[in-house]
Amino acid sequence: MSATGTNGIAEEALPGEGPPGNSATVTASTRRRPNPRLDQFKRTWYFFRRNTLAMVGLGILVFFVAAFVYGLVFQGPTTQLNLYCATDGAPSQSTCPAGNISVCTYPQGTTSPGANCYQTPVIDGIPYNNFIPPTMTTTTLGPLPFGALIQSGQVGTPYFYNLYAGLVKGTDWSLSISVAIVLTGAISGLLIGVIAGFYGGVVDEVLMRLTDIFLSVPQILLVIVVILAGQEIGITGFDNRILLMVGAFIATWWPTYARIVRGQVLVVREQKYVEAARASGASGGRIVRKHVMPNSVYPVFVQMSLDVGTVPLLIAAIVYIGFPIFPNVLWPEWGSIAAESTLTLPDILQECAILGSGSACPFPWWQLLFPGMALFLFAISVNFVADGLRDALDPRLRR
Amino acid sequence: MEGGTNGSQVVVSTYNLRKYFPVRGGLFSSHIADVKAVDGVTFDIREGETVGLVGESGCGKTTVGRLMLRLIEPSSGHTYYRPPADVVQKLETDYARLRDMPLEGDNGTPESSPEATAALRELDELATSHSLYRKSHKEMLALRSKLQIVFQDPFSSLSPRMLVRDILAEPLEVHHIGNRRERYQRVAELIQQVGLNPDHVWRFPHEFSGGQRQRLAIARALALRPEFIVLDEPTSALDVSVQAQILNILKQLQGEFHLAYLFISHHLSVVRAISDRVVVMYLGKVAEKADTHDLFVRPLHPYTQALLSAIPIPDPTLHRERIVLSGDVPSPVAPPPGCRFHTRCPAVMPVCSKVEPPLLEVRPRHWVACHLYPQGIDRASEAAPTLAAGSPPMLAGAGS
Amino acid sequence: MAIAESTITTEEDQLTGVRERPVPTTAAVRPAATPGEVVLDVHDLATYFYTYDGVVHALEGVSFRVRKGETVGLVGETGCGKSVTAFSITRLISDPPGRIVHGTIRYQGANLLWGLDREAKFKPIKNSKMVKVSRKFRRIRAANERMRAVRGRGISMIFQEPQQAMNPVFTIWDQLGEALYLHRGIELLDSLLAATPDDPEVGPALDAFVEAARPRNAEQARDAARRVAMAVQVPSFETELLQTLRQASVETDFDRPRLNSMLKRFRLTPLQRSWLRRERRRLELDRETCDIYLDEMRDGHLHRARKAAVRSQRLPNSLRRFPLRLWGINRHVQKPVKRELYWQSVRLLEGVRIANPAQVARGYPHELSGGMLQRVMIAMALSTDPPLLLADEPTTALDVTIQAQILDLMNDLKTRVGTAIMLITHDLAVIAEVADRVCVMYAGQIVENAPVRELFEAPLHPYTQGLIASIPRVDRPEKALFSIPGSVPNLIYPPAGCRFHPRCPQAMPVCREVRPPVTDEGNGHQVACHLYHGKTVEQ
Repeated sequence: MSATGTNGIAEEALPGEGPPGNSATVTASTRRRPNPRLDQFKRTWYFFRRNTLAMVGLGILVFFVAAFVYGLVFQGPTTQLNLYCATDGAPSQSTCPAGNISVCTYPQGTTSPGANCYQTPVIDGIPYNNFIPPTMTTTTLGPLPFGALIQSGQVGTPYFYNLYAGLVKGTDWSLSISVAIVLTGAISGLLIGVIAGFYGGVVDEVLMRLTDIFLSVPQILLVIVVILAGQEIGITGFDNRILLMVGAFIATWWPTYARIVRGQVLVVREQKYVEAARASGASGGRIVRKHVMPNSVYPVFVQMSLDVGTVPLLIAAIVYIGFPIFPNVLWPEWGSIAAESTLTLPDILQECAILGSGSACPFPWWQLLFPGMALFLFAISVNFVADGLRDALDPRLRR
Repeated sequence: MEGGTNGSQVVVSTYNLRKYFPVRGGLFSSHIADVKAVDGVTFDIREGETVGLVGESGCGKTTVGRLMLRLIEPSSGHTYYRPPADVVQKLETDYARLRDMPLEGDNGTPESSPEATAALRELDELATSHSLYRKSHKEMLALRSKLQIVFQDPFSSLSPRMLVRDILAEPLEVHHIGNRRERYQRVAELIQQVGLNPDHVWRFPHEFSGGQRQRLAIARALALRPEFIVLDEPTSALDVSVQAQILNILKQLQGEFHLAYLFISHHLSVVRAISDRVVVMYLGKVAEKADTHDLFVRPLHPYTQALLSAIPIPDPTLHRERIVLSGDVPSPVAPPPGCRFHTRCPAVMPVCSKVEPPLLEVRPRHWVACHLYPQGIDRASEAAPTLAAGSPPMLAGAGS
Repeated sequence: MAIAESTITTEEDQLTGVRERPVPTTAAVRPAATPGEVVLDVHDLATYFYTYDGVVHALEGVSFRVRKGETVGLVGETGCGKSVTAFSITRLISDPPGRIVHGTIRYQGANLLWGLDREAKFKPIKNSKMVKVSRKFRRIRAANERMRAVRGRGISMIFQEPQQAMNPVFTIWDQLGEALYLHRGIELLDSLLAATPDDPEVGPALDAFVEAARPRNAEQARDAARRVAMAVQVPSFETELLQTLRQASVETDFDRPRLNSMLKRFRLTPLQRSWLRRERRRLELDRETCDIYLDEMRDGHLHRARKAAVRSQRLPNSLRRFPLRLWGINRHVQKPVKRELYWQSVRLLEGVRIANPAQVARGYPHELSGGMLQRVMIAMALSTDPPLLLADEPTTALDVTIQAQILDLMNDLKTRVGTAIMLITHDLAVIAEVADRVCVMYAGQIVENAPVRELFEAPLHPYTQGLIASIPRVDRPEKALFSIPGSVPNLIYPPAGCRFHPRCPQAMPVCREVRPPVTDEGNGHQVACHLYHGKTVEQ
C-alpha cells in the first residue's frame, strides 16, 4: 500500500490552494488545453467585465478608437480641411480646401428669408457681408456619427470651421502621439529599470541618479526649450517639430517607469525561481529575459494606461500657453482646437460688442465645450480602464 | 573522511566553510560587523547517501546548502566535487596536521611554522585545481548540471508566469540539450517519474497544490541527471501525508538514479526517516555529526538532546521529559565567546565560556564539539563524563 | 532538572527519556465522569465559496461540540476546511465570495447563525454550474453587528503568523491595552475609580515592602507587594511594584519617596474622575448592547425595545462626555487609564511567562521573535477570560523548541484558566500533546471524532489510519513511510458519496453513492464510515 510515487489516477483534478478562508478555485477539466494563456485572458476579462466603470471607460475608448480609424481612412490628409468657405452664391475669393457652403445672409433689421440664414450686421449703412458671427449648426456631411458638421463661424472671416471633423481628425493626432510617447517611454523605462534593479551596485546607483535628473525636469518647459533650440539650430518644419516634441516628452516620461520597474525587479530578484534558474546555470541575460521581465511588467501596463490619458492634456497646455507646435491654431489636434477657442474668445466678444445685438452673436460655448469634453472623456475613460485593469490583474481579487 | 561505507566515492565534501555577511551601518554604510552565518563547517557526502543537516532557523544550514552549490561565494573554505582518492588523502592529512597544531588568534589560524606553511601551501594548490570556488565560469556551467537544488517554498520556486512545460524544460534549454521536441519528450518523461499526469504540463504553477508543486520542483532538479541534490526543507511547507509521499518519491528516485542528497530540515523526525547520516548545526558551527541511528539513540551534545526532547511525539500515552532551553537563540552577529551554546546549555561548565570546543571523534564515526567530551576516540571507553550539574539527560541508562 | 529513566528494553526502539504517561493526565483537568456544559455546538454547518471557477463546497455538514474546559483538536490537511470552520464560527468569511449556506452554531446557547436563511437567496443559473447569490447586505451587516457580542469577548482567536497579526506601528502594550479596554474596560475603570491610595493601611504596607526589597527577598517582597495592592485596591499595582523593583539597580535606593510618587497615578483630579465616570457609562451601555445581541441570538427574535432604550441613553451620555474631549484635555484625562492599561498588560505578559515584561511591553512587534509574539497573542486572546479560544495553527510557523515552549504554555494555561480551546492544526503530534478530543476533517467533512487516546490507540476511519501511519516518528526508525495515495479532491466537484472513497484502500460500492452517516462506537468515539455503519455493536 505504500505509494512509491505512482499517483496515476488519470482523472485526478488539480486541487487548488489558497489562503485560509478562501478555498480552491480550480478548473475541473483535465482534457488537454493547448491554450492556457487564453484561459488566463478570459479570466481577466471576466473580472474586468464585472467592473461597471471600467466597462463604461472601455466603451468610450472604443468610440475613440473608431474615430481614430475613421479619421485615418476616410478623412483626407491633414491640411486645413476643416475650413469651409461661406459663399452666397458667388464664387469664393479665398481658398477653402474643404469646400464651399452656400449660406444665405440678410442684413440686420430685415427678416430672415429662411432657416439657417445668418444675419449680417449693418454698420454705418454698410452690410458686413463677410462677417459671419459664431454660430453653431449641425449638418450631416457624411456617415454618422463621424460625418457631422458643427459649423462654427469665425469672426471677421468668411469661413466656417468644422469643429466636429476637427475633433475626429484630432483623435488621430492625439492618440498616435500619446501612444508613441507612452510606449517608447515605457519600453525605455522598463529596460533601464530592469538593468538597474537586477544588477544593482554601481550600475543601480548611476542609473537611479540619471533617473532622478530626468525626473526633476519639468515636462512642458523641456518641450518648449527643445523646440526653440531646434529652431535656433535650423530644425524647422512641422514634422520635425512634432518629432522634437515627442522626443522631449519621452525624455521626461521614462523615469517613472524605471522607478516602478526597478522596485518590482528588486522583489522578483529575490524569489526562489530566480535562484533555481541560476542553479541550473542560466546566464544573467536569460534570467532577465525569461523570469524577471515577465514578472515585473504588470505594474507597467497599469501605469501606461493611466499615462495615455495625460499626454493630450499636456499638449493642450503647451498650445494654450501660445507656443506654436502646430502650423496654426486651427490644426486638428484637440489641444490646439481647445486653445484656439479660448485664445480667440476675447476677440469674438469684442467684435460682438461692436455689433451690438445679442442674438446675432451668441457666446460660442460649443467651441469651448466640445474640445474640452474630448480631452476630459479620453482622460477619464482611460483612467477607468486602468483601474479596472489593475483590479482584474490583482491576484488577490481574482476569486 | 568520516562515515559512509568504505569504497563508496565521495560526491561532495566541504572543508572549513565560512560565510560572513557584512553588516553595514553608520554614516557611510561602513562595514561595522559580520553576521557569521556559517563558521567552519566540514563534512562530506558519499554516493547514494543522504546526509541530513539539522538545526533551528538561523543556524546557517540553508546557507551551507547554497554554498555547496556555489550559489553564493564563501568567505573562506572549500568544496570539492568528486575529488579523486589521492586528493582526498592529501586533504585529510593536511587538515589533520593543521588541526593538531596550536592555534593563534581569534580566527584560529595555525601558528606559522614550516609544517604549517607547507600544509597550507599544499591545501592551496589542491584548492586551485579542484575546489569548486576556483573553477572558471565555463567549468561551473558544466558542473551545474550535476549539482541541483530543491527549495523549501513550493509556491515561489516555480516561475508564476511560465507554463510547467517551460519550467521543466528550462534547465535543458540552458545547457542546449537536444532540440525542442526532444526536450519536451524529456519533460513528459520527468513529469511521469515524479508521479504526475503528463497532461498537466499545460498549466501554470499556481494551479497545483503544494505537494504537486514540490514534485515539479523535484522533476526540474532531475532534468539534467544530477548526482547531488540539495533539498532545502522540501517538506516543511507541506502536510504530513503529502510529506510522506514526497519522501517516498525522493527515496525511490535516489535508488533509481544513485543520487546523493543533502537534506536540510529542522524536523528531526523527518530527518530520521530519510537520512543515513546527520549533521547538527548550531549558530554556524557543527555541534554533532553521526550516523542516524547513533545520533537518535545516543545523542551526545546537549543541544541535540534538547532538540530531540522538544519534538512532540504523536502518541498521547507517551510523556516526554522536556528539556526547555532558556532564552532565544543568540544573534549570529555577536556569537557568545567560547562554545556558542553555553548561554543556553543546561550542562554548562566554566570552560565553556572561554574556549571553543573542537569537533572530535568521540565514538566511532560520531563527532561532537562539546567540552563534556574532551577526548577523542582513544578515550571513548572512559567517557563517563563528569559534570558539575548532574549527568546529561537523555543518556542511555545502560551505557554509563 | 529531572533525569528520565527509560523503560523500553531494546536499544533499537529506544528514545531515551520517554516514559509512559501516568494514566490519565487529562483526568487532572476535568472530572472523568460528567461531561461539562457545551460551550460551542456546531451542527450541520455548510459553507460554500462562489468563485469564477465554480462553487467550492468547502464545508459540508460539519458537526461537533466543544465542552467547557476541553481542548478539541481539529486536524486535517491543507484544504480540508479547518480554517474555514474557524472563520465560519466567528463569521469572518469574506462574503462575497464565501457564504455560510446553512447550519447552526450555538455558542452558550445563542445561535450565531440566526437569520442566516434570510441573508441571501440562491438562484441557479441556466446552462451553467454557477449560482446567482443575491445578498441582503443590510441583514448581513446586522448579523455582523451581532457578532460583536461574541468576537473577542466570548470567542477569542489566535492566528498562524503572529508577526502579521500585530500592528507594527503600535507598541505591544498599546495593542494589549486595546483588547483589555474593549472587553474589560468597565472593571478597569471601576478599580481606578475605587482606588484608595490614601488608605491608612497603605503606609505601613509600603514600609514593609521597602524592607523586603532591600535584601531582595523574593517571597517577602511578593507578599508585601500584594498587601500594598490590596490596600490600594488595585491589583495591577502589585505588578508595578515588583517590576520596578526588578529593574531598579542594586545601588539606587528603593525608598518611600519613590513609592509615594508611584502612588500618584491613583490620585485622580475631578476632571479625570468625571471623564472616567462617563467613559464607564459608555462602556456599560456598550456591554448592555452586546448582551442584548446575545439574547437576540438566544431567543431567536429581535429585542427592539431594549435596543432603543440603550440607544436613547447613549446620546445624553456622549453629549456629557463631549466637552471633556476637547483637545489637550484628552491626554490629561486618559493618562490614568493608559497607565493602568500598561501595567495590566505587563501583568498579562507575566502570565504568559515572558521575561522582562515591562520592557517587552514598551517595545514594538518587530523587536520580538515569533515565539514571543505568539505568547503575546495568547495573552491578548486570554485577557478577556473567554470561554472559548480558537487557535488557528498557532505553532506551525515556529521552530521546534519554541513550539515546545508554546505547547507547554498552553497546557499550563489550560489547567490555570480553564478555557475551552479549539486547536486547528495539521500536526498530529501537537494534538497528541495538548488535546483532549480530536476531530479529523477531510475535504470539508468530519470523518472521525474521538478522545485523543482512543484516536491514537484505535483509529477507525481509514483516513485517520493512513494519516497516523504516515507520520515519521523520531522514536521509531522507519524504513519506508506509508503515504495515502492520491491527493485531496477538487471541492468544486467533490466525489459523490464518501469524499474519501477514491483514495480509500477499503472502499466498497456503497461508498461511491451514499454519504456515510455518523455512527457512535462508544467511549465517545464517533466515525463517519460505511465500514462501521450497519454493524451491530457486538463487543
